[in-house]
Amino acid sequence: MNRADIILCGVLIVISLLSLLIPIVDGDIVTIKQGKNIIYNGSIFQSKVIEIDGDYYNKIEIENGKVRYAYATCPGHECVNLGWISHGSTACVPASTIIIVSNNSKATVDEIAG
Amino acid sequence: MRNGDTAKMNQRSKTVATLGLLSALAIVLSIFENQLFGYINFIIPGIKPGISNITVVFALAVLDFRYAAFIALIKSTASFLATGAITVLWFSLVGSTLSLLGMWLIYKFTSCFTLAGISALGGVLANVGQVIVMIVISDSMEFIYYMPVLAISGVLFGSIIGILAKYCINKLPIKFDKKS
Repeated sequence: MNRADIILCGVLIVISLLSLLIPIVDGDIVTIKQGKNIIYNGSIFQSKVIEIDGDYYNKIEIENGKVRYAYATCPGHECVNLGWISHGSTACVPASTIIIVSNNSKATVDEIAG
Repeated sequence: MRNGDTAKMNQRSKTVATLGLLSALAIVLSIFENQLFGYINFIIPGIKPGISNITVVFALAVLDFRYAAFIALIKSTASFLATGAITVLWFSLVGSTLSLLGMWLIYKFTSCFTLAGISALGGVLANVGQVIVMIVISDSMEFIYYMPVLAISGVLFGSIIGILAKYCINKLPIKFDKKS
């Protein structure tokens, strides 16, 4: 590796670190999608188990402000190994399922009111 | 047959044989990596070193962009067939295309980088491509938070792959017309 390589690697890492400037806050709404179809949308504080059948089976658990892939039949089980999340998103790529935890106070108010 | 024709034919045979070997190696390494990291990915979930990319970097250095693109396509198809999931094909295709284009541009139009730096760029761009696919599929920007970790792993593993590719090229008993 020469000096130019090291500068290039440094620049790449610095550019990627810019994404950290977007503030991360714990979310209160869980949205589960299979492709673009919304399978579930609800509070992260409401305990729930969601099972999704498709190319691969997914079992998703929502509990105490956290959500995780509890079980999956996909080849790598990376989604399961990622564990609990309370913000951001996670996905099971082979199953095309996505969990998004977002902060949406309006939806929470609607949900409580409803 | 003239000497020139024979030399041209020999070079062509050498290229075809190398392409075949690299394609086979790409498939084997893809399957090996999917199997191996399926078991040990609990250490850093979602992070894979992309060992099979060594064949693409090697092809780009000793053969040509077209051959490297062919191997990248073979590699993506192997990943798709191993999982049977169309999303994996999109992930692999977009990641490989972006990575290969970036590596080719920097390889062709600059002379200050070694294969380690070129491959590091390829590693990061492959991850950028996969995050773009994830954002498009999910219609959610949240996946951008994975970028710092993916960029660091892309730089680390990409550099190692580039160094290994260079080592293999130097140790190769046959020489190609194209300089690496």
